[in-house]
Amino acid sequence: MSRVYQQWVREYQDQAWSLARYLLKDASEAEDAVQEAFIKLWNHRENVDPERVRPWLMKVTRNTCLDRLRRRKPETELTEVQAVEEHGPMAGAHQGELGRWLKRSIEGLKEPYRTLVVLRDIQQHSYEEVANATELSLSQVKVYLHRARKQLREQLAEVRP
Amino acid sequence: MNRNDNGKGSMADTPREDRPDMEEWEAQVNALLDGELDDARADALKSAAEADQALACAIIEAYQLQRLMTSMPVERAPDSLREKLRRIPAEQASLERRRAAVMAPPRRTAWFAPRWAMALAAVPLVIAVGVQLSGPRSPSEAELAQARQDLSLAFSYLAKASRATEREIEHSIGAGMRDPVTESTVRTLNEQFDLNEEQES
Repeated sequence: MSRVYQQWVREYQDQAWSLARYLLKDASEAEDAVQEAFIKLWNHRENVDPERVRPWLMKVTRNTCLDRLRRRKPETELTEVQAVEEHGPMAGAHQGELGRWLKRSIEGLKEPYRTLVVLRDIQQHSYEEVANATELSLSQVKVYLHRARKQLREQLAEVRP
Repeated sequence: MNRNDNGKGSMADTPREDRPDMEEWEAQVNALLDGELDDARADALKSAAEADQALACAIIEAYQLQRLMTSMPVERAPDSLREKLRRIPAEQASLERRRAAVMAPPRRTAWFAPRWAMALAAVPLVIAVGVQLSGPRSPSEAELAQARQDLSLAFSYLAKASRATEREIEHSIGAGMRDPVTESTVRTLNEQFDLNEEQES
């Protein structure tokens, strides 16, 4: 079982980390949240359907992050938003103007829009997986994602050269 | 149709009253991006876009956004996190063992239980009675009766202690080791008792 778990770690650690970074915007806290999610995965490994590990893990990661966000003080959020400007998900990999803009725009989306965009449009999960991870119906996912994309498209229209 | 500051038409800039079916078109644009639009509806959307610049812009913007988002890298988890995740099974197993040890009944204290004190107290009594019975002086009938009564009492204590010990040993190390220990103890005491009776007779 440990070998299967290690396989899950290899396959999903980056996606869980990326989602946690977009949601929490703080590396240290994101690291704790992802570790917490994987501990839960280990403790529930016998009960999780192997075919649905990824949405299960994304759901737990997201819920862990949302719990942490709820416990945060408002002023903490501002400091961390500034920090992510330099060391956020795009750091070192995609520093183009549009990339930075998109990162900020996604981080500015409200939940569940932010998670939907990250899971569906960045990480390319299927609609069904996204619905499982966010505990929304398939039609809700489509409607919310439609709104999120529209918001981003409107912002893109403003910055487009 | 409205145009934004850079002169490009955008569906987002077009007043809602000018595009009563725009929401529906936008839903179709989303479906097109997700590959969920059948050929007939895709052709209808294409025809509509040729006649409606706002819709055409919307499709272009949607594609641009999609391309931009798919080009966003999934950030690699830091090495420190990778190491923590790799160690979780071993750490959780260790934690589980510690938890189980804390929850287990405190077996060591059983060695100081009253039944053991009772058994230890009975041994000198048996020896004293044995010595008295095997001594050179001829005891009176009353002394012998008293001694037998004491001996009987001591053996009943020993029997009780033996049963308690059996249970304790069985609980701790299993039935396999129980009998050799308790049987040898009882056999030694019985042999001593038989020897005393032979000497007495």
